[in-house]
Amino acid sequence: MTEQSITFDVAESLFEDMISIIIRQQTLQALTNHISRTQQTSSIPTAQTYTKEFNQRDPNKDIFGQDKIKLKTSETSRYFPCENCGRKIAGSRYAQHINKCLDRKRKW
Amino acid sequence: MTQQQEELDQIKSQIQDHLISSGNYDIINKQLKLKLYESGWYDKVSQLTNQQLTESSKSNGNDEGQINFDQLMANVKPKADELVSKNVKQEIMEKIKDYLEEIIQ
Repeated sequence: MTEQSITFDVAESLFEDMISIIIRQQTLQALTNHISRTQQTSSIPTAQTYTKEFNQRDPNKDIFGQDKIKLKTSETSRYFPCENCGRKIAGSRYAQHINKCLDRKRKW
Repeated sequence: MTQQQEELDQIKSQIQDHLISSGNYDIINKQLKLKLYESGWYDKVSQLTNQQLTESSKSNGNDEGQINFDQLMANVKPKADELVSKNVKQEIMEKIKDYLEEIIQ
């Protein structure tokens, strides 16, 4: 082995070491970036999960989770006192009653 | 391992120590990085690694803990070695050889 070829061999192996360190750094960086990216995005709920939740909701409940039908019946079955004649009128009939009740008073 | 090879390894490790302690390693390494940047090697390698990563996550059904570092390195290294342009290699080799000749004398 001549001196020149030894220098060449040593130089080449030093060069290869340098390159392999750089490749190692680059690969490691790419991998850590990739992992952090996938972890970040996986914690964000996608549009699909939102629509899934929306589709799973009970159609008989309002946005506060109260039963719509119950709410409606409790509203209509409640009695309100009429300020005009003093009688108690059901909520669902109250508007009609006021209309007639005031009309009646005017006639009298 | 032959005796010659052993001697060569010993010389190499001595040279490496000297290279680092003299600060020449840093200089040559910086030059090498600059040349690689200029030749677009870094872009190509990051493209390559990202391609490998997306492929592996696709084949694993986007599971976590997909490909590990050793697997990725084994896939990327030979291609990245090939991507180093001949000019860059020659220039840096010249610099290392110059340095070697200097210290041998």
